[in-house]
Amino acid sequence: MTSQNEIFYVRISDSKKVRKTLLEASREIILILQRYEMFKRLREAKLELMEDLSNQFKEIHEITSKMKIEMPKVKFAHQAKTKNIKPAQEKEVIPKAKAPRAKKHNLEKEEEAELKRLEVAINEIEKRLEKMN
Amino acid sequence: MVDSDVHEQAVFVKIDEYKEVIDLFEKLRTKLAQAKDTLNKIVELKKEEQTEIDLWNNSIKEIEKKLHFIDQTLGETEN
Repeated sequence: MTSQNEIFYVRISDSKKVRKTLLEASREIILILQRYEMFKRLREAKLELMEDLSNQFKEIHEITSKMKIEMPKVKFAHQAKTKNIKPAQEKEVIPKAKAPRAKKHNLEKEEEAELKRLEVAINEIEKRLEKMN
Repeated sequence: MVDSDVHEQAVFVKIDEYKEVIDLFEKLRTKLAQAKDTLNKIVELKKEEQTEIDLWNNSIKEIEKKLHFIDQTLGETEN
């Protein structure tokens, strides 16, 4: 049984190097933490830019919708044959600014509605492209 | 009327509407250039992010090596 007086020590060979290595490892970890802050800033900047890009795309979409309204309505061969399609139906895609939008309190619901609206617009464009072919 | 005739018919646009379309087209061009610029900035930031991640990876490898050395040294002492 070892009493408190009998204390044993273990010799660590090359202790200086071990201590140095430990310090270096600590420094490396601190550097990682510093870089994490840098990384966070980069991500924030990127998210801001993505938001900007999304807004720019929305503006582009609005301009193209306006252009579509300004352009004359021309009957294509397919439409000329099918008399069911009235020229008024051409204007079905309403630009975002003029589209009736109910006030939504929930941001998620608003995003969902935006996605649906875009999907409808894509379908409409695809239909029109099909008619042109 | 033959189908192809319908396609080949000339389309005339009122001069004021034409000007408006040209203005809109110019706006579209500008917006598109802005969007391209923003996208390039995002790509740059993404590259920087990847560089940071690579640096973390290198750091972790370095720390692992150091810990391995310490572990070995302490292990030798035990024996």
